[in-house]
Amino acid sequence: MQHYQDRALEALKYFCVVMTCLIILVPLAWTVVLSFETYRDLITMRFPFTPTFENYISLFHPIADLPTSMTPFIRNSILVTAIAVVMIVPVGSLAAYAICTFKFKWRIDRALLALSLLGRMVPLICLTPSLFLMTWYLGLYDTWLGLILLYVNLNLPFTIWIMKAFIDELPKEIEEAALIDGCTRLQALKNVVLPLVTPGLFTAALFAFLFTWNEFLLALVITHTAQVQPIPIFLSFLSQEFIALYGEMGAAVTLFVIPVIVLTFFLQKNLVRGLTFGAVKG
Amino acid sequence: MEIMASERLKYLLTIPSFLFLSFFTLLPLLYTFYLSFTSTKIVSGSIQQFLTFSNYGRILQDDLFIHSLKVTLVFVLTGVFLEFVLGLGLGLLAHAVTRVRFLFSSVMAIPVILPYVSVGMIWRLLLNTEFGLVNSILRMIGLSKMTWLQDMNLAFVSLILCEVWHWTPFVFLILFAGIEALPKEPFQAAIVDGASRLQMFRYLTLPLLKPIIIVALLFRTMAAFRAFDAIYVLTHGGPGNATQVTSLYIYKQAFQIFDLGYASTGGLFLALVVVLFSLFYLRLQGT
Amino acid sequence: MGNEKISRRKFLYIGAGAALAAAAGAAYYATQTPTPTKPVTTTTAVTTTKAKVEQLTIAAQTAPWMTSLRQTTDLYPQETGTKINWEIHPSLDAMMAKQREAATVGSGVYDLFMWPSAYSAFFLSQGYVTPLQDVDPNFKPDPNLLHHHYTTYWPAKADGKVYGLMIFSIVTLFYYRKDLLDKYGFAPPKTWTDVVNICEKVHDPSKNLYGFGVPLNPPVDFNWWPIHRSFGTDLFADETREDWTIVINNDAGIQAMNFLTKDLAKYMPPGWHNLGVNDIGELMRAGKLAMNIGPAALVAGIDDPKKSAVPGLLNTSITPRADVKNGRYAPTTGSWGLYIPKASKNKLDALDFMKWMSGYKAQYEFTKVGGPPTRSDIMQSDLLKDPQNRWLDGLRQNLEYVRRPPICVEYFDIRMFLDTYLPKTFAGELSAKEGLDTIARKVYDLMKEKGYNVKLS
Repeated sequence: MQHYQDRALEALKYFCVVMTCLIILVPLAWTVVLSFETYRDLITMRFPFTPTFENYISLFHPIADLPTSMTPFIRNSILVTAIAVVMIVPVGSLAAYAICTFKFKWRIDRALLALSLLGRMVPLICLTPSLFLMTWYLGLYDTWLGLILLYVNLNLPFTIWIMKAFIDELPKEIEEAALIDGCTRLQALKNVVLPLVTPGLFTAALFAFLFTWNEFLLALVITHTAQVQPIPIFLSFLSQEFIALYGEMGAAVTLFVIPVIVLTFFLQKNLVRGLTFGAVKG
Repeated sequence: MEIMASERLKYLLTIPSFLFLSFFTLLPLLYTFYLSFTSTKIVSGSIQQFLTFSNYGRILQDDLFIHSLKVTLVFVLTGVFLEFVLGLGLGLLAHAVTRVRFLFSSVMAIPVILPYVSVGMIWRLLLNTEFGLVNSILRMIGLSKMTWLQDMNLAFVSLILCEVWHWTPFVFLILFAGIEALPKEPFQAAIVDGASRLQMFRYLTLPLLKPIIIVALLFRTMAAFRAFDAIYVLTHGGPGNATQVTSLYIYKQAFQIFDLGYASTGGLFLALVVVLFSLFYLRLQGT
Repeated sequence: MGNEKISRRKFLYIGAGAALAAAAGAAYYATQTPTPTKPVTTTTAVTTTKAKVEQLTIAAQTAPWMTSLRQTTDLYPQETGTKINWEIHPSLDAMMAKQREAATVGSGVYDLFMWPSAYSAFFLSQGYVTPLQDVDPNFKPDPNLLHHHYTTYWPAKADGKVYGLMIFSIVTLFYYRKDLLDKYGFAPPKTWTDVVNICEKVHDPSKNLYGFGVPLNPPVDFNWWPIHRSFGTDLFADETREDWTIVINNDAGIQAMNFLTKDLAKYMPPGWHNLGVNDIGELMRAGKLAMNIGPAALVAGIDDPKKSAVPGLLNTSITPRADVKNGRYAPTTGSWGLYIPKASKNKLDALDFMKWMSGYKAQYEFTKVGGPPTRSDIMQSDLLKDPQNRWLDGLRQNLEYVRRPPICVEYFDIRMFLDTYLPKTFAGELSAKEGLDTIARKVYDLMKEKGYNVKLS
């Protein structure tokens, strides 16, 4: 009797697991399948249908219905995200290191942490009118530089937070030992601390990449030409007044998401650690 | 000499971050305060600005704004509640399941990394009345198709569906890590004492998880207030104003009606609500 | 020490990689100075010796007719040596914002303006447009060129001058499935009673076939006016003659609204009160609508087997009128026209292009590639022989009776009232009388404030 109950319970548990996985994966798989259907097959739900690459091709060679091809947007996304991530990780990590190891005279470390907290709490939408005007006055409106600077700022709080958690974890003795051995602070940083927090760096880089690659509102507010806009803006062009380009939507989403999935596959552990470090360590 | 280097070094290391945050977070915040006391409109490509106090009076009487606050609150509370319940349940489930745990976590990690606009777009496709997957499934089990994005009430449900699908895995991952990190001794002692599963859950699991739960809920609540991308793509605030959350309303005021002063006032109200919620959570964490 | 060497190497590699990426990125960035105001151009190269002005720049929006328009204007350089530089924007709002900016600043960046008539009031009343007779005193409008219910004239000025020229027709068409109507022996409907009769036979949701559809989500006006006005009512009694009596909520208006929400709604798809133009287009092409109202632009792709499940089965006809005393045909016209900016530096060349584009030859080519023409002689030409162009007949019928939305500077505010209260009326939150009365009241208050001689009926 007990045996049956246990087995039934086990079965139920695995059933729930499978159902949940399906709920997560099936919408994604369906979208990818959809991207290979013509508009006509899509709206009539024809099955089986003849797969076609047309939707993907039309993203890059728009014959009709699209104001521009996807290419400049891809270029913009890659450029802006790469430069932003390369800037954020050192700037944020070094600041976190400084906060953890040094005492500050005028409590600058506290101020920096408070600013980070402010950055995370105030919703971006609240700042968009002033950011819009600021970038306009400074000549940063509709430029790559404007996007990069604002993306760096957007990600600094989280980077500092994560790196602080990683650095706090390190026992102080290792660094002290290096200093006693005669290293300067910088040498200790480079040779001792850095190798130990490399997973943290990768985690911070991963999150910086994710947040920048996915950001939509900021780009929407401070850019308005295809020369500068990143991919998320292009996605919003696909739903139009006279026709909603469903196939192209599926194709664009698939292309946009591939780098994210690939990167996360390789950095899974970092992802989970990053999420939980932000949480578990408070 | 070493101490001097330290002094220079530590300022050198922190100044860049400080500058960024001051210039692009603090300054815009202060500027937003200033803007809320002006009427700043973009008329035909040029900016017209003058001082006024009317924004605050106007916004408190603005039916649409109050409505948007209500929509946002219901959205946030419903969403976060569902995500918590499901996330916790799934976390316990994953803990109880021994074999496929890693695979399960990997699959659950996927929605978290997806771009918000993509998720909105995917759900826009899923919820299409005629060919969407959701209606196909409904038809398979014998129910009739529903107009997810056209009906005022269903559109709101669509928002919740999208949000819960996107973020429950996030809550799950955090809570799961927390559950895994729980100490074993109290539970072993409780079993010896003859406690039931339910009792263990109520008196051991929940209290021990409390700090993590609070942090997860805090993150999610703050993020839910900010929700913009997916809603913009999914319903764009419609039909009518059924799904117009405050962030969308502010966006419309700022960039379609071009009344930046009024939008700033709205933004400050939203920020105030978020800060109050955050303080409430932090208070809970303190106890 | 060994560990330290390895980790140092790792650090060096990472550092080098990051530095390289940064350097490459910075170098790329430095060499590619972004030019935010650079338009997205789609012109073809030109090889001719007759050089007038090199190119004319016009703003446009992404729309089905742009493909045909661009293909047609690519022929212009071959004749005159002037390129047409289309600056395409992703939406109407974006396009209008740029033109408004150019007009108020007087930058002259556009050699021609283009917009649907609803926007004319702003530009004309502020003097941002030069009348054609001021550019060329000998200009006379071609009688074959339809003016879409006096769109290109400015009644307020009463100077008889033409301010712009139509180059394509965005009007309401009535689409119907010929095969379904033939199956039950129906002729294309002329009145709403006819439509209801057909629906009764044809409407079958279990087979995914709906009798009728119409796009009614905001902006509501374009597709709603044909139904409302077909009962003999309108917003103002006659705004072309400056009679601003508000009649939208008179008996005919209430009858029209009740017809829509009670009689017609039975045969429409679920969620009918919130379907967009692209939703109706989707239903049309999937073969799920027996009849529908929609803009002429929906013609695009109805015969393309990759886009449509009913190629060759859809026809067009006159938008029905109501079977009441003052019932009339009342398709709406968006009336897209070309206008000459006051700040344009190439006014004569602009006028030449306008005349060319609205001339017989260009319109013929335009129609051949699927564009909706705006000349009456084109719609009786041999193009009709091609079954792909069968919708020209419906276009001709509707253009005979077409009415433009009221043109006044306040129309956009009025549209906001329509967009706020009409959806509620469609959904049943407000009764027909309540909804229309509220709109009438709001319009009255607004117009009174602006100093119009407005009355409630």
